[in-house]
Amino acid sequence: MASRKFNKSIPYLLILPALAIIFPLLIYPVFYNVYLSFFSWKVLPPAFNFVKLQNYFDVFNNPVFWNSVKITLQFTGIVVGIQFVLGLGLAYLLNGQKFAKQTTRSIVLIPYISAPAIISLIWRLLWDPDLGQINQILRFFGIRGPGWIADPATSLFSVTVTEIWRGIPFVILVLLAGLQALPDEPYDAAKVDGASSVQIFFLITVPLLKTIIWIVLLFQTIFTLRAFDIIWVLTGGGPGGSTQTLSIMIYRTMFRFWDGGTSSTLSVIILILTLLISFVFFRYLYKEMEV
Amino acid sequence: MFGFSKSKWCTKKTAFFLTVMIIFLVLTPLASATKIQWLAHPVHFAVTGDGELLKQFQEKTGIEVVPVLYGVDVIMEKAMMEMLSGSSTFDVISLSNTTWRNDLGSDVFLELDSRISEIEDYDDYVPGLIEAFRAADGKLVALPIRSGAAMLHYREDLYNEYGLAVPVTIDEFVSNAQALTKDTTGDGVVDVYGYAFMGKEGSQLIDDFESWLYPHGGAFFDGDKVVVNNEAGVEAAALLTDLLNVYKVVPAGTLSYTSSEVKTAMQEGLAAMTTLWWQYNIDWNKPELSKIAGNARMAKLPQKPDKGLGYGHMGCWAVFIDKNCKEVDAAWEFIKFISSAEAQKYMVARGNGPTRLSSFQSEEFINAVGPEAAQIIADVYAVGKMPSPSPIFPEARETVARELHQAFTGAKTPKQAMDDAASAIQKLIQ
Repeated sequence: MASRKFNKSIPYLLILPALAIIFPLLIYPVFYNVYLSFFSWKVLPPAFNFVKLQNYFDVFNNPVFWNSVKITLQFTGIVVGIQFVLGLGLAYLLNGQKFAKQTTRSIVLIPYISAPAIISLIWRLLWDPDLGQINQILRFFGIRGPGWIADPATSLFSVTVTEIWRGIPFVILVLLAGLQALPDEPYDAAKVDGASSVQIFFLITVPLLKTIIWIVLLFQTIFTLRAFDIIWVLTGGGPGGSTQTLSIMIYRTMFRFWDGGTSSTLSVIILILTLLISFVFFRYLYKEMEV
Repeated sequence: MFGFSKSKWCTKKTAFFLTVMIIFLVLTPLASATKIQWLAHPVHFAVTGDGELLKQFQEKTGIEVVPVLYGVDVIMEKAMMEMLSGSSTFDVISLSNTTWRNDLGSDVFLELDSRISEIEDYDDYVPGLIEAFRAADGKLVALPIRSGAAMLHYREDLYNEYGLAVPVTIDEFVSNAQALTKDTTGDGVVDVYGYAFMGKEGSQLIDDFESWLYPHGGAFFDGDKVVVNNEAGVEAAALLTDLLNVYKVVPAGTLSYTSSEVKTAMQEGLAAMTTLWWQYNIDWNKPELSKIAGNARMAKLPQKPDKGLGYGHMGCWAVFIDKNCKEVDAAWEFIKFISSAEAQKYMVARGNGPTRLSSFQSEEFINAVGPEAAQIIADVYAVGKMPSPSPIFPEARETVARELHQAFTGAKTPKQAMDDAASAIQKLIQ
């Protein structure tokens, strides 16, 4: 009897070490952040005042917040969408590659393994309207390039392209791994039945990859929602707030205006937003896995 | 039990080795130098001869100074974490007058008034610079180590080529900027712009804004009142907006420019004038670094007649001792040394901005910048003032930067932007 009880408790005992690490480093800070969001907290000198939900009301009544939400969703939607389409196409191409596989795959990985700050600095030079290579190439073809990161009309486009470039190797890698794990039989059968390559791709490859696709979309959405480094170095959220995502707003509120209460409130909102999106993804993912 | 036989384990050699190790481990901490960590900007390290001065200090005192180098913004973040957590990672912290808030006084930093009598030549500090680091509680909390003043930098070769005179008024400056903006190759693309400023939203934009605010006779505050939206403030905001959108005399990338892009624009010959710190002029005249070597000159900032205060943006870095510092005496010895006349002489020879009156007359300073520039710098320092310390100055600067961008992008008029900035700053005060 005692031994059965002990056996039942083994799984819980085994996860204890992991919990001992996760709780202080992950779970406690999240709850503490939620707690802080109910305070008016000027960081230095420390001054705490319990304000109930006032921070939330203030944030929701702030047009800058809604503009940041719009920019964040736009940025995330476009980045994840294009990364997925391009990533899937490139993964498909790499899967059929016959020669120099290792070299190509190593090259593809470069943007992902490089330090984001370095990537951002390189792209900042590339996007420079006067001295940057992008406009120099355009000038060679007689085209006058725009102001890119210095122009509110093109700044979001510029940071979006940079983020797509940075994150696409992850999409390619995961989808490529998925493609390589697909069984040969459905393809052989389709060929016998005379299916075209396009039919094979959309009617066999994509359905078989669905679970992997959901996972990739989930990860990329979470990564992009909280993207910070590239935007910060390229534009700092400007010009005129045109690239100020929620992450940038959180950082500026905390480290430029020393407003810990509002910053915590914004962090809670982005956490809830991420959880909601993850929840939708997981629902589809589990449905897919059940099928 | 462990597979070792007693004879193998307890050899004479092993015993000797263990004894030496124990003696080494016990004596090493006793023999090692007192170590302090200095949170500083890379330029602070560079002007110490990349650490040469710190080595000299160590030889003299036995105190090892370990510099931890970050950019301006990150330094304040690290300092804030240090103060919030109450840790003592950094013994000495460098902060500039634009990032330090004067409500961070003797509750977070060591007060220095009780020790200042140890500095015999205290009167040699530039008075405005040292007094700028007196906290709201009246206590002195830092010693100045590096100063700066914005100057008008201009290309002498282009001025000569187009027959221009160095501008004294703001109108003359605008007219020169227009004359200098040229398509030199005739391909329809401007190759040289009249002016470049740090337009990226953030603190550096305000450095350039201040370089035009004071020459218009403006200020951020008048006592407790926010006056950044008065006539002078609006004119300064309108000037930058017009240079960008109306006269189009600044590079297209201006709204993403920090000091490094402006520096590059000057040294690549893309811009003909700028208003950065005077220190930049030294590098622009080095042939190995710059395409305009020998042609970068500096002058006092143009002023609005009868209104201008005679100077532009002025700033200073100072060294603070963390109140939780474990090595207070060593930290004090270090800040006394690094701000001393002797160390300053060494540093001004490497482009540091003087914080000692004696430095201005020193051979090292005159050789570093040239006699003409040395005189111009000394004249500007003689009339220049640092902005009055305030508990919300860093936030006020960020607020103005945010609103200036609204004016630059056409979302607001300069007047609306400055009014909105003033009301947001007023809220911060409340």
